[in-house]
Amino acid sequence: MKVDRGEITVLLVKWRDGEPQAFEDLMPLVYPHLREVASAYLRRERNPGVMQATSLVHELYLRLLGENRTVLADRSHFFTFAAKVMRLILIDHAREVQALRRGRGIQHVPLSPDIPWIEVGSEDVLELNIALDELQQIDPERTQVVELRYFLGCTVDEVSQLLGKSAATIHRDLHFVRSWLYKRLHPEAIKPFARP
Amino acid sequence: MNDRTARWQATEVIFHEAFATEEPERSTLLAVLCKGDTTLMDEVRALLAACEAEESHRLSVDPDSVRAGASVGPYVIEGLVGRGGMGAVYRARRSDGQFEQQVAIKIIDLPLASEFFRERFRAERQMLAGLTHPYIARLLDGGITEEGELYLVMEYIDGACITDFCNRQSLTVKDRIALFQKVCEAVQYAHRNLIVHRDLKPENILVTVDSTPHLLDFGTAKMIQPMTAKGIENATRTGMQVFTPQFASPEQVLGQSISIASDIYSLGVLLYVLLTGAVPYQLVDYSTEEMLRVICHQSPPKPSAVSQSAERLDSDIDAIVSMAMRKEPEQRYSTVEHFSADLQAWLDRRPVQARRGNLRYRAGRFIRRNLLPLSGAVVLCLTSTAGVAGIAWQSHVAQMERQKAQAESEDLRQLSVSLLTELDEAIKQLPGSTNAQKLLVTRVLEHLDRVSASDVPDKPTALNLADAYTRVGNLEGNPYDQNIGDAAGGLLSVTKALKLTEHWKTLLPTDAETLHAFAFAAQSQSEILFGMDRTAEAVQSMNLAASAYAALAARSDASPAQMSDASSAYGALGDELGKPGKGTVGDTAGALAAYRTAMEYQNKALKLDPKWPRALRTLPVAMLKIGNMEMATDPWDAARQFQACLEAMDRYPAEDKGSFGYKRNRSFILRGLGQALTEVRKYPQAIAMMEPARAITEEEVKADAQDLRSRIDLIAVLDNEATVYEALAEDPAYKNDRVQNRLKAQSLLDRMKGVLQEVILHNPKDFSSLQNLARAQVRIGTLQQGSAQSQQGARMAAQGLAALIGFEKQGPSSTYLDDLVTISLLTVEPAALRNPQLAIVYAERAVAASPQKPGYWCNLAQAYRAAGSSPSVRKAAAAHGRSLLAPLRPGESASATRKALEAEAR
Repeated sequence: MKVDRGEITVLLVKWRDGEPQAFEDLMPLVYPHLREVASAYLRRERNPGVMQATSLVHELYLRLLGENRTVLADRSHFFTFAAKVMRLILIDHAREVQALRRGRGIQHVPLSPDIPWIEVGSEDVLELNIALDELQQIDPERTQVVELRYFLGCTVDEVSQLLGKSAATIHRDLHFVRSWLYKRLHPEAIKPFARP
Repeated sequence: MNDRTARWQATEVIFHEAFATEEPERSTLLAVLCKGDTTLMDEVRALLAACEAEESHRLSVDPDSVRAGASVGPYVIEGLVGRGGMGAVYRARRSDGQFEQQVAIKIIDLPLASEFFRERFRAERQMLAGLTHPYIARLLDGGITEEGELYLVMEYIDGACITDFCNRQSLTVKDRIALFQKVCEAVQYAHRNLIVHRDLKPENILVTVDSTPHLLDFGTAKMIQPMTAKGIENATRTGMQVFTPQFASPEQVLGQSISIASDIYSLGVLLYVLLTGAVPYQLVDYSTEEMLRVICHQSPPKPSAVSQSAERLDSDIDAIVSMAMRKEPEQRYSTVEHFSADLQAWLDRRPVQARRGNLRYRAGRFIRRNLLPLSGAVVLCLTSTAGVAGIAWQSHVAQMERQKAQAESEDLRQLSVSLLTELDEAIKQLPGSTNAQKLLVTRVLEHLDRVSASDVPDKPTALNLADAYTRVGNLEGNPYDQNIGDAAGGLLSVTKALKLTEHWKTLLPTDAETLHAFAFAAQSQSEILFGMDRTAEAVQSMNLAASAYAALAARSDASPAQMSDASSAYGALGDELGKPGKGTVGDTAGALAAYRTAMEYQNKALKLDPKWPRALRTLPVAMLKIGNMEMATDPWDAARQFQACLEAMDRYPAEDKGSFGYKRNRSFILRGLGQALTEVRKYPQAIAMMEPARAITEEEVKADAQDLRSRIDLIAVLDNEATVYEALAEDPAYKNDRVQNRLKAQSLLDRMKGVLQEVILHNPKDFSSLQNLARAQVRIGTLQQGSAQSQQGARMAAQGLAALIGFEKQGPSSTYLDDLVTISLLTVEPAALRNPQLAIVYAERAVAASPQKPGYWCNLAQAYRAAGSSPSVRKAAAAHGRSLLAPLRPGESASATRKALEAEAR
């Protein structure tokens, strides 16, 4: 690994402290590695129980930051960061697929088992991205939940641990946001209501 | 909060409320909650509709859906067979009417497939095409689908994976070995064609009804000869894991070069699984760290010890499997043929190569050959050890419950003790799955909750329950124990234990059993809280535990064990009090007092039994802790502690004295004493400690060329010893020996530099060694001033200084680094390199991070003076530093730090 761990640590701290440029600076350092994780993760998705995405990301985290236990407190920041990068990776991928006008082929890989109606590489992923940009403006916290769960593949328990909320809250959050996203992506499926 | 956010939140609240109701209540509720805001009501209704539509859409998607009927080249897909490491496999039929043939089609299953993976896929096709063997699945065709996906068409094997086959057919050990030998034949064929499989595991070996194995998935295969394809070469270098951890060899885990020996290893694991029904290694989180620890360092249990079968495995099989699974590739069978031949020898009851040279063994083997054949009993093959263990455990609990119901007089103590002993055992033996472990803990807790809820327990029952709750709590989340990482659950359990004991403690405040159960629960509670960073509460509980143990220790019939219990609680209290950082007490004085009490109890234990091992072992540790803690503020007493510590170590049992741990601890203590003596300016005495410390460490370094830890120890000794000579060189009392002392310091630093470079070569990112190296350069360069090497020294000093400042800028910074940089900026020679203004920056930072260290205040005051800051600022810093020092006792002279602080305070 040619990445300077010190640099990543510093940038992560800056990003956490609200310096937006830090995200841009971090990207090139982490993107290729997370892309590896992304493809391994999608592969594992088909072999549940072999290795979870979060353990891969955690592994990556340790590799990038070194074994310095004192920065472990920043683990949840790294995860929320990784989830954002994963989102970008999967958006880039969907753009590539769409640009090549390739069919969806034989494979159907759902973005997340929670929302099997969105497939990796599909136009829906791009739509989802736009909807999430909007959600970010209204409710950045829920956006984070969606990124961790749908893009990074964290389990609900993992999300709850990372964000320090109860699993029940995360379930509720996802229930609501999922309905909202479905309404955004599938307006045709919702019949208009006669006002009483 | 903007309007949109407010509206969004209102929508969400109403959505959840309405979701929980059904029509017609829902409409009423919506009308009430929306208060006439029809837009809001429409929005919620639309979301509820979307929720319903989403759910039915979600449920209609089959996660394993395949485009049945889709065509791939001339083939029509019929269904999904399975998914492997490199791709999904489909069953398909040739559709061009030429000839009916069922085939398996493998399609690359990587949505983010990079060129690298495509390259591997092509390589697989190329390699498979060259392999024709009855036991290797044949490649028929391959290409690219219209959608651009890569596919391979293979012979369709209608068979079961080898482990399932063996179990279903209830094969005997002999039959299993015969089948395994066929697999060996196929692998041997591939090896002769310069192909290593690299991912041999049961899922990749299908067996048809006629007992013919078929090897699949040469997906991770690699030509032994280097290939030009770039991607293939990357395969060995990249960190991506393309193997199955349970079957991977140490060299695969380490990312080293893969050879046929790696396949021999995986075959060894396969044989292990076939014969025992268990995998040799249990992995929990599949992290690199875990895989290195388990696969590269642990020896698996012998097959004969693990086997669940009625048919006994013997030590020959153990020897054969272990020979195939040696950690070092060159120690394994040299070819698959040899491996298979050794198995044949076992089948023929001839001596096996794996145990060659053992005469007694040969004789035993000969006698056995003339006995009746072994009974052909069924080998019970477990598909999932975790599952079976879990079920066995649950039925065990159920049986226990029945026994309790049947015999009212059943002693609950027996029940709980037995339950827990077995739980401990089960937890330790449970493979991998934390979930299974959690399940067991949950079961036991349910059991305990049921017992404690049934009626108000009498004293023995209550204490037993408390003991059980505490033990379960520790298993759940005590960071000092083997635990399953559920601190919150653990806290809940130990708190229940505490409640049960508190009740009886109020009624019987002096009862020994009650006190012990209470103290055990309180100490466990404290340790769990401490692990959760709730230090203040942890200290509270530990105080309770310590006083309860103290009460027990104060009884006239107290045993050495009770003294040690009290000591351990006070020692833990000291750790908790002294831990600096967030949310902690950081009470140095309190910590010291607690350590001292801990020591007193160990001494009392030794008075009762001079050979009491617990006390003998922990006493020096307590003293070492006290010494280290006092070094900065009270070096005289620290020196006394270290001295006593050395004496305590002399009393160690003789058999312990040769051990690595003993020698290492002894060198730590000698070094600590040397440092304390340096601080009180007893230089010759300090050297008398450093020299033996260095000798011990040098010996360790020599003993093991690979041992990094000894080298790190040696660096510390050299550093401290050089410091003594540097101090001597500056001391006017030793003016005449100045040149000699500088040379001595320089030679120690040169050696330190060499060892540092060795360590860095091994780990180029070891920041603390890189920082120490830079500091060593500054020191050597400084010592060379005024000698023939002045110029060269000036260059080295400047280089070291620049490196140190560089570390500060790039991070990770630390108070230790701040201290190194400050001292370097203030004392480096030539003096032109000094920079007092910059030194102030780092000195202030060090003081802010560790305000309890007098040495940092001393640095700060010296920096202020050198920078010409206002005398009042300097004096204040120096006075504060001095106030942190322990007062001098009669006969004690001022330490180096005290002298410097007094000079700056003037």
